[in-house]
Amino acid sequence: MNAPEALLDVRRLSVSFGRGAGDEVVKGISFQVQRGESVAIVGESGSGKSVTARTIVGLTGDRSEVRADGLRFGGRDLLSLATRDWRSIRGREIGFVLQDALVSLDPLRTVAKEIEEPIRAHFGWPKERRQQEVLALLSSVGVPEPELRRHQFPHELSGGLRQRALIASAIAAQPSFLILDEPTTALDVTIQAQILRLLEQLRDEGHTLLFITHDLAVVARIADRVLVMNDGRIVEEGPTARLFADPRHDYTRTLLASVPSERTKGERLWSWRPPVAASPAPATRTVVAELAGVTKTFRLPGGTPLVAVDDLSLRLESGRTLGLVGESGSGKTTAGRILLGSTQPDAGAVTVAGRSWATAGRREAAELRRQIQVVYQDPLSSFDPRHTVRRILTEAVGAAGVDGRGSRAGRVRELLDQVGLATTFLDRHPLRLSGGQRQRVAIARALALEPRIIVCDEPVSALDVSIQAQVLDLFDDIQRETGVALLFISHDLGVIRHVSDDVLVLKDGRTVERGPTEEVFARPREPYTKELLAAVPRLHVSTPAGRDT
Amino acid sequence: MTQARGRTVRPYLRRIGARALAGVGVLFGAATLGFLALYVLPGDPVYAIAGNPDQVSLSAEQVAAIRETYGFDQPLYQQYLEYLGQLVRGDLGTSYQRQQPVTTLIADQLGPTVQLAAAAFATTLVLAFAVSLLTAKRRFGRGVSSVVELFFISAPGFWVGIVLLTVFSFRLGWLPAIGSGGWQTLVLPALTIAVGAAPPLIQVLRNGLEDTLDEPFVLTARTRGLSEAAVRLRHALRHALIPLTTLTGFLVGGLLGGAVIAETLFSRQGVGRVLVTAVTANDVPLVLGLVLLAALAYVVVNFLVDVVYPLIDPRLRSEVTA
Amino acid sequence: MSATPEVTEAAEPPPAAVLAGTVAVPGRRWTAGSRRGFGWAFWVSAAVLGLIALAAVAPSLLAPHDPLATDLAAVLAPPSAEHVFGTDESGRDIASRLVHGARNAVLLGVGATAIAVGVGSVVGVIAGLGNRLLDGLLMRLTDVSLAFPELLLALLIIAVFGGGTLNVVLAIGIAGIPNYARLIRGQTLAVRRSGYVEAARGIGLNRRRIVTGHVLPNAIRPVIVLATIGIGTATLAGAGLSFLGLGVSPPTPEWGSMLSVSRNYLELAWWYGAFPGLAITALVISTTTMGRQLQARVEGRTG
Repeated sequence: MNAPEALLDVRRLSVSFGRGAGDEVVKGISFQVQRGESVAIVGESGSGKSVTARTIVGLTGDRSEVRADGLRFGGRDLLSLATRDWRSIRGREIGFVLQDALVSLDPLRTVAKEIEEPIRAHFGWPKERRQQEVLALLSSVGVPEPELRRHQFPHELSGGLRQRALIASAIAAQPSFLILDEPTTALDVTIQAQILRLLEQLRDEGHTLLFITHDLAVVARIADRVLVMNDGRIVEEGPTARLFADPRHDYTRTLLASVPSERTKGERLWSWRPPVAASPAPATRTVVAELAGVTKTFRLPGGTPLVAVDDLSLRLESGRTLGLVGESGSGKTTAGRILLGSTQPDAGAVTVAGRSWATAGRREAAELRRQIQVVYQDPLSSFDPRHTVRRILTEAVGAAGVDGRGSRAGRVRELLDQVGLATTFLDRHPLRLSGGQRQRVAIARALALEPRIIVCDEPVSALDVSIQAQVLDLFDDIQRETGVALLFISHDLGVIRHVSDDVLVLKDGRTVERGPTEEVFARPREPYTKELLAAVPRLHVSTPAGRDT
Repeated sequence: MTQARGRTVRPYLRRIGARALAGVGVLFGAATLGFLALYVLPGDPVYAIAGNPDQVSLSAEQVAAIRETYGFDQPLYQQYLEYLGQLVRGDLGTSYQRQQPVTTLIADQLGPTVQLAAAAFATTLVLAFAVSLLTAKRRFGRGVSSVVELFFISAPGFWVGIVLLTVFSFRLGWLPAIGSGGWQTLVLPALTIAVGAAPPLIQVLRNGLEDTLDEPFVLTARTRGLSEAAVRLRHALRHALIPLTTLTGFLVGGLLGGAVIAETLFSRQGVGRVLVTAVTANDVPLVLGLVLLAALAYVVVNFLVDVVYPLIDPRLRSEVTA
Repeated sequence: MSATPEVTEAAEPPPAAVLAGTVAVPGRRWTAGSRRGFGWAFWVSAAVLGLIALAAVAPSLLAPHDPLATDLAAVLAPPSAEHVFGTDESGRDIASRLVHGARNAVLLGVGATAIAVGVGSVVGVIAGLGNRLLDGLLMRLTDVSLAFPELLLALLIIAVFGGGTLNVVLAIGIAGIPNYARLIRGQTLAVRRSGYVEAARGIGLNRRRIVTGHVLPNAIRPVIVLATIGIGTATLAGAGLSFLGLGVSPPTPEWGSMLSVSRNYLELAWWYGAFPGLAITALVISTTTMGRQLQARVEGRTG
């Protein structure tokens, strides 16, 4: 069935936590990885992809049970390994890179200590030689000034350098096989592009790579072969180009169709239901909120000033979506908070529904707040932990001025229906809801006030792509029905392109470029916008091309 | 590299300076509260000095004489300034009951108490580290240990001491029951204090270890081929030390309170016994002197912890965290 | 309560589940019960506390003998059918004395905890809701009081006001205030800065409704757990003071002072010290266990 020289050979692998077949997270999967290959396992959260990766280094945890017909690496039977033998493989033959180096490198130890740890564990080298090797490793992964950097702690490095240092530690004891678990997930898009380049370099140097990721675009760029996992099973497997051009399994097809991009503009991402009929478009565009020349400076602990937003102007019009895009630290969240009135700007004017936060009295401010609502990335913290969905929504409906128990209850049902939740959710606590369901409750609460503006701050960033697609469709429906103006803040250029009518690119608090979305994306004028767009790994689903760049 | 050092050392020193200042502030506040206890709250201190008014009848002249001797006839603010001045000079006043300087009374008895506290401290730490490292994430070990910990947290310290006495002195005859000479007399009292003080430390340390062992960087360390012992000692332990800061107050209080109990139970010499006698005799200056000494110990220990922690956690050293 | 402080204000440490000087260590891994219901440990503890409560309310129902009746024929008699826990140096029945001592133990534990948690919560909420000046003032005061070890602070209070049951309750209660004040203040601040309070402001609720509807209920939510565990701590502190001879005066039956006297008969009568010690330990274990399980349940529900 498989070539005998496969470096990694997995046959009918099952992993369960707890007892009973119902607790299986990996359900009898088989695959091989050949020497020198670059293979990706793609799946959403809970698909079992990370557990699969950990099984290969024997680190699924105490309470797990691993069963397989065969689990061989480099000709050795992993199933029969003793603890000591496992240790001789980890780091030395298989390197492992986790996502987000800020938490995957020990924050209390210097970069050098972390990088040399595999060397100490596997080679009996003297200190001098280890230090030389750390410097060489840092250089080889593209860390400038290695002599300086090696004495620093992870939190003192930028995200990109940190991730490079983490990769350096994984390759320190010269393993030929690398497992990368979401290696670029927490990174800004330009940094992500650099790390992908580094990984390509490792692949070209002869490392065998196994990627674990949810990000289809990353896969398209770097993998030779893709395994799609869903619910503990491999549903489809094939060469990257073929799989993207001609997905055969339904799940793969929906997954690919769910990715927002320029292609999906104006279309449904998920539901087959046609978009609701739009309320007749107003003849003239109405401006419902405006920032004019707004500046905000924070003082960091220690006294250094940080200009979060610098001379920002923007305009929200009813029935339209403005996309605010930028990397971390670009000031996009602060801009949203200024619009919401939760942060006072140092200079500039903020107008919401024709009035200003600065001049509004307490009562007027409360009235103004109802006009502009917000949906965050993590809605859980915005719900009182004691409250059920019913109470959360009833409170909001009450705040909107709906009187009488009966009419409130009726309005709550209406809202639930509007965001596509069954009434059975009414008596649940948000903690017991999934991420997508929580986000729907948050949206329902915002809608309760019948606002004219909703600020959406990374509302889909924590969601799996299929859930993200459904929530984006929901925003689309809501805007068509209610004509609400949306300020959509995101780091994800694909999402921004899909949802926005207009777009504004921020960098370090400054406006780099603005304009109608298609114009900016198709013909960026500024170098930074070009760089940003070039860094985005793309899916070319419609064109059956070879490996995409 | 020097650049990096320069960036981290200055905020560190600033932090230490601020903490030292805060410590002095706390001591000042403690002294002020003490003054209130001494001069404002109780009825007439004259009777605390001379004895119970039911038993002792004083003439007006006698009362006036005592007032003058102790400065009670001065205006309150003047007494307060006087009192602070004395404190700064290291003068804790005069014991009502023994008519001797409080400082002398304390200094005479301090040695054995410091010895006992030190022995108890060392025992507590050894117990805490050993048990938490051995039982973290070990189902059976932590189960057994939790029950034992709950018992020792819940049992009165002196009763544990009584049980230890019964078993090791009276039944087995291994160790002396009372006295304060030689290391043998330290064993049971130190153990009595430690088994009461260690369990909360064990639980905090173990929770810290277990939280850390779930962290991604520990998984990373394991993927490098590290042994379990190396993972625990080199990575997890240091992180587990950080939440211990919240327990310094508890530890100081536990050791000093434990010393009071243990000295009484094992008939040892020390300031704990002095304290109990003074409380019974309403000898407020002496009690206050000892309480202020405990506050000083608390402030000093907290300060030392503040100095040491940035060495354990480099994130506390730098000005801006990314 | 206007703008949420951002970069400028140092983050408040999360309300520590660890009370210095008490045993309120996070119990999430300890529970012998499932997430939803309470485990057997909870019900055993409840039964023990119920028994102690019954003894406190109606001791004569449980006590086989008069706690003060001396019997010189049966001095320091070992446990027997007649005297299940043996007798003391005056031939009094230890079991009966334990039953009659329960009231004192409960009054002390509950009374001192009520003072400490009650006053501490009020101070903490005021500090947490108040302006910077008020908060600063109250917290500096708390800092200073925290510098005194609790037992020593209680001793100082007794030295000033004298001993006796009521003063012991007061002393232990007052000595416990700063800890609770600090905890509840931390909790109040955390709630004030929480996402859901911001969300409540976002839907246009006024300050009064936010404070009464969201801040207060969540700020004092840990109080029941703290109080339950606190009863055990206060009981221990009371026993300590009795042992030092500062509690009630003999021959009133009291667990701590029974233990204290039993010291003189260690070589002759192990039961004299053993049973009062076990009684105190059982009370404290039960309150601690119940408190931890309540805590686990609260945390399990709300994350």
